[in-house]
Amino acid sequence: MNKLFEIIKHEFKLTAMNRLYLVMTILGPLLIFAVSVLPTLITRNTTLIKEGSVIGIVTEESSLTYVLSAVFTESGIEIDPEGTVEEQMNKVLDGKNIGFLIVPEDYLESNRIEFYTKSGTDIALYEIVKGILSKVIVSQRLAERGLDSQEIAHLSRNPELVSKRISTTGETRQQDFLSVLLTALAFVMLLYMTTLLYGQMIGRSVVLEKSSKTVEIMLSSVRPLDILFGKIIGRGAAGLLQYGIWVSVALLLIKFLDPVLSIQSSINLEPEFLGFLIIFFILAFLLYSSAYGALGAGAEDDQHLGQLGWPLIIFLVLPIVMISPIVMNPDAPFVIALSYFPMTSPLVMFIRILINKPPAWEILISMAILIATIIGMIYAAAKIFRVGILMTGKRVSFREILRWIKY
Amino acid sequence: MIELQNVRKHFGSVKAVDGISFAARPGNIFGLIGPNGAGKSTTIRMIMNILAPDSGNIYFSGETIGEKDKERIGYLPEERGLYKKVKVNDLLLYFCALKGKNRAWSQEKIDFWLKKFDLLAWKERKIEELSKGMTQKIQFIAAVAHDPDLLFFDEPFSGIDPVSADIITESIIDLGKEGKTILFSTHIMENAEKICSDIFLMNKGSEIVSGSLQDIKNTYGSRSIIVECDGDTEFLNRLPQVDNFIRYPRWLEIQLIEEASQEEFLRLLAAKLRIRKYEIVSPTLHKIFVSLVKEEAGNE
Repeated sequence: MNKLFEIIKHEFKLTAMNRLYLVMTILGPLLIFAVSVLPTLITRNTTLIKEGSVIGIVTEESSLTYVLSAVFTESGIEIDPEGTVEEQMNKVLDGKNIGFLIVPEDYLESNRIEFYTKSGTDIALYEIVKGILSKVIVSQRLAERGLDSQEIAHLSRNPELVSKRISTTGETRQQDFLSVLLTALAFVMLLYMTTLLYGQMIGRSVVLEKSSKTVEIMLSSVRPLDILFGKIIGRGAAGLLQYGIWVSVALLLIKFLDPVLSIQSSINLEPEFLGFLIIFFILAFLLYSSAYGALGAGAEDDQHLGQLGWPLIIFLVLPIVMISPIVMNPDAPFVIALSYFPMTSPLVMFIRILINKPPAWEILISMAILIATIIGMIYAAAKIFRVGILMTGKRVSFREILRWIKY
Repeated sequence: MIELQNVRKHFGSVKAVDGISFAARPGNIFGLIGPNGAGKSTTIRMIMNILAPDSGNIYFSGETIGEKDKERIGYLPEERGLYKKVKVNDLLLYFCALKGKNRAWSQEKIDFWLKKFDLLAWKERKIEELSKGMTQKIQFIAAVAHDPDLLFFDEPFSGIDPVSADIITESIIDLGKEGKTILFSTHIMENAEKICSDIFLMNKGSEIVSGSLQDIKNTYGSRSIIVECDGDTEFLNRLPQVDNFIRYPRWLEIQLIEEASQEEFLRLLAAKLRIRKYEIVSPTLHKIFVSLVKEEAGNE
């Protein structure tokens, strides 16, 4: 037990001293914050236009200029009526103004206004300008028919369309597909990448010790399974520490920055979700790292490990490839099946929880299947590890490695 | 004291080790010798309790060897690898900890050995910064630092420079004098001859010969003749006095039939060759091994 602890300590240090680990630990929270907030920012485009941006206007209608500048100011945009077309063009090219409008004298009749920007493709800005112009021009037309301004404002107000989802708990929450997809994708990528990274790390370290014969020294001191479990627990602890740092920093960022930016995350990053994230990381890690540990013992070198490992990667990648249909139909039978199947359940069940939390018994059954599989996997890995760790000079197949379980 | 009794290990149809017995005593340097594939590694692994024998017994200090004995064993494997990113001192402490030794005690031993090998200045450097020779010395320290009673050196001189080899040879001999049981495995007979007092010569999983090196030489050594000479030595094949001979790059090792007279043979050679050296010696281990393996092949 004491020696197992020494191996755990050693493996933990080896992982935590690694430069990649440090970089990932530092960049992780930024990534989590980015993935939880950016989608909202992207889809809520108004916030992307800088306060105090200037749009030029070239027109003979000074009254229109007056009205527009009043309305645009509400959206944080100033109106610059100074200058000819050419001068306005230069201001845009210099970056002083973000664009300019050319409004012909008969704009109410011709129903045509030109809007020039540097890129011509800034859809967010286009939508804002279009929205404001529509409102102003419609009001002007209504005013010509003799309606007063209050009436106009009342008649022309837009209905607010808010996308809501129904959850089993009965509460409703603002949600739109794109940002949900992006957030889910980002979290699943995080789970996938860390599981794969830690799994392969363990596989590679077994291969390295095996091919360099360090393992012979190890085996002259400890039992084979001490090596396997020492690696899994030691590296797992390093992974867990990393997740711990990520989650706490993410929670802090959200707590302090959310009110400042007044952003409502598309998916509520409640502590509950982060808790599930950690639980599913632990489970996925145990499953895949024990599998990789076994394959590492069977492999001759890194390349061989890569070949042996691809069945594992297929299962890991599957939920990511299918993320779009999974997010759209979180309750489809195939998604439910994938959220029970142990090789895909950590990722798929997590997506389901993120989007439309299934009843607790479903989550518990999925976890129970997963834990049972992990126990079986560790048992098989131990068998394979014992046989494989001493076997050198032969590039065995995946099937042959499976046969070692019976030894 | 380590004792093997009729130990057998088969892998499928391969008889890796096929019923061998020997005993290595404290203070002696015991050579486990044989060509590649003779079953040395499997034997070592069984003694280290990494593999379990199919049948037979292995005793360590009179008791069946078990997991607890690992703390009393030091092992220098043939192919060497160490964690490259780890500092020398941390690595040695780690290996000592795996042998159940506490930190302060281990540190003292580690410092002693680092000093002996003139590596104290490298204590806080990473393994990857060390030269190959240094790494091998570190590995040697890793095998001996926890002060084990049984030491296993598997090809300790492979790829090591002559100066380091001398330091290691000296250390091994010293450890023997301290009363450690030392097992030494090699396929290079010359190395074994240099430091072993007892040997176990094996081939294809079975014993060829064992005992004290001197006894073996006496038993199998109708004496040999070492000849350094210039000229065509082809005629030796036809001489009735010659039992057999081995051509080395710079000399010949010749064995005469028992009745032959040395004087007459020397005269014969002198007539045909220009002789630079003519020496009557005990046969080399290599010679004994080759002739015994040939004999065995002839009997089959």
